[in-house]
Amino acid sequence: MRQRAELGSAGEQARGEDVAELFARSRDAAARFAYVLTGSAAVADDIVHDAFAQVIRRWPELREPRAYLYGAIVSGARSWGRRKGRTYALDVPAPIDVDTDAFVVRQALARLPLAQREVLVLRYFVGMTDVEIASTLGVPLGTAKSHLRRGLDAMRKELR
Amino acid sequence: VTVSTPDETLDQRLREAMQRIADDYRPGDDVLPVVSADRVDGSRRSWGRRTATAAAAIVLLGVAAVWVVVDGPAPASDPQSVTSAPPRFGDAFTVPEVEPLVWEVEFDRSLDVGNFDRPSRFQAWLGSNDAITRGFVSVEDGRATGSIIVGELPEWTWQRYADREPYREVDGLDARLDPDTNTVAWRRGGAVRIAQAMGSESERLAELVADTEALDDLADLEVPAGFDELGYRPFTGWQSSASGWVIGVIEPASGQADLQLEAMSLEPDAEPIEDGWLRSEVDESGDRHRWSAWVQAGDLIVYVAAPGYVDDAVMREIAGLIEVVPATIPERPLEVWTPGAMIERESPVAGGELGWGRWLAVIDSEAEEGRDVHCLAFTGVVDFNGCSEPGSEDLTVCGPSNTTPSRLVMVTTVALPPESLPASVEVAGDVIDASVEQSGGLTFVTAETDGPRQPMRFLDATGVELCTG
Repeated sequence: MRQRAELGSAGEQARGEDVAELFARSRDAAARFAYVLTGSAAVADDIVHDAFAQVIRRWPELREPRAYLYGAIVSGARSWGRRKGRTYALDVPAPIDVDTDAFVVRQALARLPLAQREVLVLRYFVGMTDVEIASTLGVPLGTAKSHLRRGLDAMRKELR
Repeated sequence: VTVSTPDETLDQRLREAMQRIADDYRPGDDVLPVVSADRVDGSRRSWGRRTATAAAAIVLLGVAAVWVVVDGPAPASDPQSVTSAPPRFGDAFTVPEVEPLVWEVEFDRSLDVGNFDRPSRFQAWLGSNDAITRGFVSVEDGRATGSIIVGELPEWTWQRYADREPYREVDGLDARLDPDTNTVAWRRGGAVRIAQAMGSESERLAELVADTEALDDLADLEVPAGFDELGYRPFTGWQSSASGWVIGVIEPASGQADLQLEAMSLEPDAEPIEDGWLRSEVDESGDRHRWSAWVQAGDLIVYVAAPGYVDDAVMREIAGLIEVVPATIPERPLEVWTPGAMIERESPVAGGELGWGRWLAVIDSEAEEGRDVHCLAFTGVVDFNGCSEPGSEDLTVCGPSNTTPSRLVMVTTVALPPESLPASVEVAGDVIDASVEQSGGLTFVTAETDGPRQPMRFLDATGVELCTG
């Protein structure tokens, strides 16, 4: 899966990858993730910046840097959303043909509750399993599955 | 034949759609290029020495803030490099090529020792066109510590905050104004944006805050020439060229409070407001606004407009952060501009409304050495009534319109010799005859076109460009 290939596994990181390598290899993927999550490139840049700052500070103690990184991005997106009173799409959207799935999905993501959006993007963009999603978000597995199910229900209606 | 289940199909469509969305992501021009990790400790040394080896050994922890120690002996090879003058905005120093792990920041000029040797706070952003380190360094008891963040900056700058309040967070945005240099800096995309006030000597410049998402490249705005002559200090403004925001400060030298407009409200649904005038247009999505506003200072009216749309949440945030000081709204504000010269338009305009028509003034100015020449481009005409309710006396700023006539004006405060007066205006390749009028010590050169178009160039009788609007 594309994002996985860019990010590598947690095991790889734990085996000696340093933070510079993590940054060099995963920054773009992380930013793309943040962009899908928030709809704003500028916000994504900031959030990823801060997320890496956290990763770097806690690097020696991190067992799963990748999960921590994505968790930090999600946390950053939430914080940004709280500050702004909204959680999605400050940027002028790039033109996408209105009859494409991408257009529909982007519109749907913008409307979804953030918790559902998070699990959907982690699942379908990052490629995480339910367990990984739950770990990344720091929620029980059942909660992650519940959010995923509801999010999928919403997407299913949108993508009929 | 492989048959996908509905959920398999949905999964695949979601994956592909999200990848397609992500493909639209474009990193900003300040995306962080470097990660490094190291820490330097050493013997004390002061900043301010020439820093081929001094200054920094600033160690950058990637994109993160990291406490560093700026220490070590001053180089003995260049003792004369210490100067008394601090670097100013615009002074050049270089940042070497980015190494993959550690940067040693080198300055090719001296820093002011005096500002660093005494216990004081110092904040600096260091960078070049190639890279930027953002952060601040505090010098206390001769020991400098600070945080550095790596980023890129289109335009390097340098900032000083000696003996001033340290960085102060405003709603998540690091935006600071240095009254000494009239420079404001804020963070965006992990780097720092800088704008410098142009021409203002005000000590009361409003603290400029803005939303990170609403900022982009900057331009400076100035009021037309002649502003000073009326007893007002220059207008200081920053304008986003992309995302759309403008803020300005006008401070009357006379201290007439009723004429003081410290900032413009960006309240999105105020149309107009009584603290100046503001109009916001809503885009098709219904939640993004393009706004424009008037600033009045005495007899002069300045119009500023944001070129793009900003999100309503941004608008609310900015509006909440900016104090609006009531200003007097004249009944016919433009009459004081140039009686008979600029507001003689009373003919019907598009839509059949009488009045002053619609207009949008985009103020662009440039000063040329030896003569103060400012270009103002007025596109559209003014409408005091056409956009208001019938019978309303409210002043409403409308426009721009792509169909209404345009007036292009060049204003000068300096008596120009006849040969230097524009004789024509070239707009989008068409040369239009210009008329010249003198009023109130100002020279107005006007030309009309069939619509707002750019670029425009004011030409003398021989076709030589005088200035560009």
